[in-house]
Amino acid sequence: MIIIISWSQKLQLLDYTNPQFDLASGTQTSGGNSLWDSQLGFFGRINYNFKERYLFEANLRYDGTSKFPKDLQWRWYPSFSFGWRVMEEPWMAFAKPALTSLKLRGSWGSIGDQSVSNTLYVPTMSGANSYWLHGGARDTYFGTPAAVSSIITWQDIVTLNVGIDVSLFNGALSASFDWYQRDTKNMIVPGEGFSYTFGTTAPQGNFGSLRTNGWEVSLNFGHQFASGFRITASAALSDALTHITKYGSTTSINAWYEGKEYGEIWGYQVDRLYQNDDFVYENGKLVTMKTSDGYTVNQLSDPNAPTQGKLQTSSNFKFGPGDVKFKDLNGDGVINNGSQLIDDYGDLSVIGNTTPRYEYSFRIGMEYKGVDFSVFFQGVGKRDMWGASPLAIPGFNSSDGAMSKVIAQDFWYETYDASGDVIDSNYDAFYPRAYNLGASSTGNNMQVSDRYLLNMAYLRMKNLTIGYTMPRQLTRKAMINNVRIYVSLENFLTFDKLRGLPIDPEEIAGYSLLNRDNYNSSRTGVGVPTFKSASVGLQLTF
Amino acid sequence: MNKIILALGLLVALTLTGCGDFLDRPQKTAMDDSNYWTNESNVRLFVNGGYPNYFNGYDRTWGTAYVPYRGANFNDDMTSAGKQSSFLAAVPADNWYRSESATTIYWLTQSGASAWNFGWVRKWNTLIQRLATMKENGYLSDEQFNHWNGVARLFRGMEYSRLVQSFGDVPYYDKPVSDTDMDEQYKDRDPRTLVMDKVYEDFVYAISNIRANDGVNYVNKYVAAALASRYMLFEGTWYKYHPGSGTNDLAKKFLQLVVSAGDLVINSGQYAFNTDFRSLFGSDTKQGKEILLYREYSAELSSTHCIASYSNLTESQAPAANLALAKSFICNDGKPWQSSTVADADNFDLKKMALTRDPRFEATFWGAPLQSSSTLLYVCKFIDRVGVTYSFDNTTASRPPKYGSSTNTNGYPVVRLAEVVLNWIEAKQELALSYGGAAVTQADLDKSINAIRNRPLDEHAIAEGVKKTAPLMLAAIPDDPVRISSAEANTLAGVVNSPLLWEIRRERRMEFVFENNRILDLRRWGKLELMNGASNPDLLLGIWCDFNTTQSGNDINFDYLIPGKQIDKGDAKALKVMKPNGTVVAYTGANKADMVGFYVPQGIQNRDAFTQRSYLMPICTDVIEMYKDKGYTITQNPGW
Repeated sequence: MIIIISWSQKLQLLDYTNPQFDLASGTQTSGGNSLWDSQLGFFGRINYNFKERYLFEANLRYDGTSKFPKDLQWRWYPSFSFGWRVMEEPWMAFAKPALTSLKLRGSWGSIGDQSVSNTLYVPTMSGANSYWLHGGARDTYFGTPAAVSSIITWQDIVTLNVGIDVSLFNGALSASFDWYQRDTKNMIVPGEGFSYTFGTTAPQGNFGSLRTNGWEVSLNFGHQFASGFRITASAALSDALTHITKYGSTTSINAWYEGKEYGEIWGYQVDRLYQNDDFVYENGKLVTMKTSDGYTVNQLSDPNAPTQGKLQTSSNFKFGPGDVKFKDLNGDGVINNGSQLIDDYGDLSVIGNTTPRYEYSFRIGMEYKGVDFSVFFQGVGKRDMWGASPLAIPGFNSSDGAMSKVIAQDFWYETYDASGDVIDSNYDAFYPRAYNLGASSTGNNMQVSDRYLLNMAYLRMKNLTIGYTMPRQLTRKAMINNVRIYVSLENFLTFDKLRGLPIDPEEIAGYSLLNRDNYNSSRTGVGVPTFKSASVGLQLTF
Repeated sequence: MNKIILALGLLVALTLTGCGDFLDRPQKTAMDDSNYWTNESNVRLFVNGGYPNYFNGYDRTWGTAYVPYRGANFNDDMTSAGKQSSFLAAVPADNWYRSESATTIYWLTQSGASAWNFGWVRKWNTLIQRLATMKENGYLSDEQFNHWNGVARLFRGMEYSRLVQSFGDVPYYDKPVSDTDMDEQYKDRDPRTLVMDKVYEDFVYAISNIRANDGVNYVNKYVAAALASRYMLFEGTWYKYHPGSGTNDLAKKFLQLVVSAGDLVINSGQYAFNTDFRSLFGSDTKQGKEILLYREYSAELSSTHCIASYSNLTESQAPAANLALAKSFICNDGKPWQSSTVADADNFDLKKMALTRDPRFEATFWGAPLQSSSTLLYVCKFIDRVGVTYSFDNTTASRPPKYGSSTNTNGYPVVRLAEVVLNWIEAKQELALSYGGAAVTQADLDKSINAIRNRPLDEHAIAEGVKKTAPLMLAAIPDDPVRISSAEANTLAGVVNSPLLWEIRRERRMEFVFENNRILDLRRWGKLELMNGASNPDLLLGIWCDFNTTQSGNDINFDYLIPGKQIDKGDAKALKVMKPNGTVVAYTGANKADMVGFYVPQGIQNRDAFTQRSYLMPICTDVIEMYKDKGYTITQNPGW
């Protein structure tokens, strides 16, 4: 594959509505780049079928790519699969026709992945122009050679799969179940554990591997009654979980430590909100004191209650009435995150996971005398996320202006009259006292915690279609084969657990057609939402 | 069947032999480490990447690293309205960087020096290693090798100096850190004495090996000497005023290098003070013979900055020059205002001060109180005499882009002779005071302070009536009462005992207003406590103002009292002045006649208390936890 890029630019257009090189008077600059890489592969396959009963297939690939150093360019990738159609066995004939077909299958295979950049093992030095001027021209400069690993090679993906397909009652009911384990080995990842004194980001190498375990089950049912009423239904459920099996020797909970579940979220557990009588007052004002770990906090009325000094991340914030009280899980009297290592994480615990779990869907379809009806639901059983936007975090950035109504209507506050008496309050609020975090999603009250973690589980009616096909006899007279009118609703019902926050549970932060990973600064819930649509249609077949 | 297998086999064999070349895809548009190091001009291109980092000047567009005013705004010369910005309250999570690109500059405002970034160290260590290989392979002649090795070692020395200025002890590497040796990567911090001794050797080598002339605005021997004097002065004086951090022998060695480097530059005969002060900063091209290295800008090449616009009288100065800075200027008879014989020396009206003080006062500050400054004292040093004429109501011309926004094009004297001679004379005096050096002579003063005082005045200053300051005479060194004030006594280093040293430091303060030197000078002299408004009250005051008269200076009408707006209601908006005896008078709506005095910036509050630990930056928690994660330890700075 060859990519050639070249561009030219000239500044100071004479006519902005007609941009031409000859109609510009400024400096002309140009540049370009050329990239190329190549891949080559051979494969062979053997297929064996014995009496439609035992099926066997084996493949062998030999792949090479230009992206790795010479002696590591080629790899062998075998794979095998087998199937056993049990119902073809003569001794299974007794089960027919109730048990129509039964197939056991399994496979093991490996393939290679080389979707990385061409320069991973080459210490490139690229030139650019700086803005420092010598002699009236911009300096050209070359950067330091990148740190590279000289022994980099293919990433291997090995998959093991077993499954059962069952079909009952002549195909009226069928089910299939799959279990799989996929290992990604020799993952090209940045070397971990490189100190900042190394002076540049660590070279990438085949240091990582992870394992995904998952299963899928699906059911299908279809039956036509004698009266012509037909019903079909199908359901599917799947789940997968990924663990890091090898990455390095890091034990930091924020890095890929061995055994880490992919997507796990570490956070504090919330006890409740502080109220007025949790604190000590003197002449109507809160009293401050210095804690054992060196922070200045407002004094608590219960001397045994844990203090939260380390979580006061803003210089003018101290925990007071209306703020969040966290649980002291390790019993040391202070709330902190230890050293954020797997053997010293203070009062943190795993409070959720960003991986969608237990994804399910089901569809029901019915048809009777020309009327057809089908509905399709889809949902995710468990997914958690720590939001980062004004929609999810109270006080995310008050200068943004807008805030979720759910937050604005339910936060802890007290209002006073001129003589200092409380005239209005909301002590049982869900959200704490208002504080501006200045475009930050964590800080002060908003530490990653279970109370404010977004529960992104949902069930959504993706599609509801009702249609009516006019009787054939009538339409044939008008030379039309088929006329069907229908109404289709998409995404009309959503059941979620977001307590009314205006966030679409299907959204992925930062993802849109225009920008895959940083759309709208990856703020939660501000990406393009799924659209509700209703349509009415007429289908004519001639 | 056999034939088919044979044919297939041949096919496979044929394709496989062609494979080797097919999968050969070397880089088309980038050099790499194996083919780059072949000639001198490639070495020059590699070194060019360092110029924005070390000679940043006014930076580019809105950048602030090491930049006058916008970057260097944390010191005792500058005050904001409201609460003063505080020193670091707690150990930050991250002040580390791994600079990949050669033009990314990371620094810490509060230290005036580098963040925890070893990317540049790696760059120069790599260069030094490659140069040695190039010499072995015959790609460089001896002269070329000596020069470029000198440049590489100069930059390595500068980078380590900056790291030490921020953190004190740092791990020292003299070759690129290996990616397999974890013990080396995670070694604990080396003492600053060890690191700076290596830097000393690098500087000595650089000064003796770099070419005397490598082209206009390229590093040469004299630039190297000037830079070495800057960093060696920091370290030498640090050991004196922070007892226990270094040895007397090292301090003496470093200060002697400052003197010898200064001698090299002064005696070269190439540099002299032959331009006025203001045009050093406001011109588009290098002026005169004072500048050793100059950063140019150009609008056509999209290389512009924003610092001149912050001197154009309209752009607000929110940390702005305070009374302490204004009072530190010497009168033009060479005496402090308390004992000066110049008429109106004790009158703090800005128009009078322009006439009675050192000419740099008139060149640095605007001659009338301006609302755009939070202290009413406006610094207009970084723009030329024409640029300030666009801010009056009676001009119809619109401001040209070179004086506004981020499209300014005036250049910055990155290294100038004034810095070299001031480093030189200070080192001489420190050696004489504490390390058995020869006493400073009148000839020394004439080459340094008096040569600076003898800078020509520009026509604007002459027309105003500004006079040059009388030379400093050894026999008649003035005795400034501020030297022994309680503000000075309340600092880490205590009172400065030598009046001559005090005058040398004053000269630095007048010369380097709003440049990056002040915070570094406060740190090395043990004088950070001057930033505490409780012990240094002039920090929290603005300039003298008479709010009754519509003061006019150069066609600006100053009428500050807006009816009803600044009446004292107990909030921050009240207009307040402080009388010379210290009483604060607030505007009640009826006492307009009494509103004459030093302006109290709105809502002013002292910064939070800070301790001695603020002299060094802390190692951030990310680094400490990473060391702990791998089973190593790194020591934190004391007090953090």
